[in-house]
Amino acid sequence: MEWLTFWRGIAAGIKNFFRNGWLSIATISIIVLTLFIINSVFVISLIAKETLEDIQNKIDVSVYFKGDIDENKARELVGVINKMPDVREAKYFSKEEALVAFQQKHSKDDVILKSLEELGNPLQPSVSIKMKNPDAYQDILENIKASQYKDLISEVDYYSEKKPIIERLNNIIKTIRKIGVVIVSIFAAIAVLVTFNSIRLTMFNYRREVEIMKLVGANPWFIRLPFIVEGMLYGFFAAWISLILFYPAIYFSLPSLNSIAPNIDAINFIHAQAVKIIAIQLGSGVILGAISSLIAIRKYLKV
Amino acid sequence: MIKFHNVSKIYSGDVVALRNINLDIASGEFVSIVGQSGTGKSTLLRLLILEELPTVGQIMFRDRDIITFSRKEVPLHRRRIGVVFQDFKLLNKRTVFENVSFALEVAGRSSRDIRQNVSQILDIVGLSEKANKYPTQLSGGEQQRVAIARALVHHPEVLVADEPTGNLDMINTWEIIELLLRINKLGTTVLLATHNKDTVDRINRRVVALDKGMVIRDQKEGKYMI
Repeated sequence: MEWLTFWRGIAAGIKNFFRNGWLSIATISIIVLTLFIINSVFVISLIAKETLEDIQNKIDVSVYFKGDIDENKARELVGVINKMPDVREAKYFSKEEALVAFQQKHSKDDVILKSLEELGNPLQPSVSIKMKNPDAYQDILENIKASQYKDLISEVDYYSEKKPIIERLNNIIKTIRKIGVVIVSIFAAIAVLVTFNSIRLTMFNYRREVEIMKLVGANPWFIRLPFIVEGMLYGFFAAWISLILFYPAIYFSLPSLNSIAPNIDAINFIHAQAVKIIAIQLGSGVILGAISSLIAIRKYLKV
Repeated sequence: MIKFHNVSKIYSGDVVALRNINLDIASGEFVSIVGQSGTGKSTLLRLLILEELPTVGQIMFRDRDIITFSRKEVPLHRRRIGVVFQDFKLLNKRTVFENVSFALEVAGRSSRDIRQNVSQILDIVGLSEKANKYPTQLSGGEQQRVAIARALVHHPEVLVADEPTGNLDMINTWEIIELLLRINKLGTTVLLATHNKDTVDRINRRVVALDKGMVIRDQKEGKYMI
């Protein structure tokens, strides 16, 4: 008998949903709009994140070796650095590689090229280090300086040149991230409130029905069930519609997205993450709908 | 069967709705509760179906104090009491049949059982032919009969009617009262709250008169007097 009541509750919810055609459409439209806004904020934050990572990847620190060192020893150190925590990449540049790079960089500057010819190769071999965590440069350099390899090193460009720039970049990145979190939270809160409110208004129509159900001795869960089902249906349809609308929206705004963040491939990202995106969207829509109905109907359900 | 023992209901702000009510109603009785508007008739009935709780006192139903019922027991208690109101409280988007079957659905009865019972009860209230109509297509008297059918369909021990004829004309009023008397004859205890003097005088059964929240008269075969 319990199952019978359960199925009846679900059937009643589905019936209500279709019986209130226009009201359902209005409620869904509002939820679709809020979900759409959330999606947009999500994409924007994705672009921001990608751009910030791009900038972070450009940061590196070079450790210069003394000119006359044993290259094998230097390569050994590079291997050790690569194994240290937080290191993204450590790359060895020999004297010759450094020269080629330098010549390329200044290929249009005759004075420099000419003076190089006279000097021979004054450049030192070096290791360029990129960290996953930009806060960790100082630590790793201290580690290297304290290690058995310290005698190989002549100088580090961190303290004199790069430290202030890296620190400033780090601050900017951190601030942007913080602002991003705040904006996403605000929009999420707005979406939740708007969804909740529109479902609450819909449920206002059912106060009479709830009153009568109570009167004829329905138990509270049987009263709630149809409304929860209805709320879930709102979330379910709204999630699908917003996904369906969002896909072409991304597709057509792709050129302008790529002009901001050339590395980002939004369509591929969506394809790769399709299951996750749909699951999150449907899951949050359905759960939000159910909870909103539950809270909204409570008001009329004082047993 | 029903006993109100020293029951008082005081709303916030010291508004006294009921004052020290003592009332004993036997199974199978037909009791009219009379009094002017605002004397506590509705409050008395609302206490019986646990829509509200008394401030003090006991309300016994078949030797159990209903005030002590748990949340789970409240719906079960309400299924033992059918309720009818002045404004019918029908669902306009459901047919007559659905309005009545609703009461059995919530009790978890099987579909076959529901069909049988609803047809039978619509027969009793004389609405078999309007089973597929919607409440808005019916007259006031017919709507009230649907409400009575809904209240009776799970065979309650008590039928509580709160001003059931308040919105009806003379003829319809008397039809409803006759229906209530017939239901009472079939064994259901009936509690009727009304301020309609003619009705009470013609019923000629027990009358409990309330004034300012107190019982001022309780007569076995009473007339409407205040």
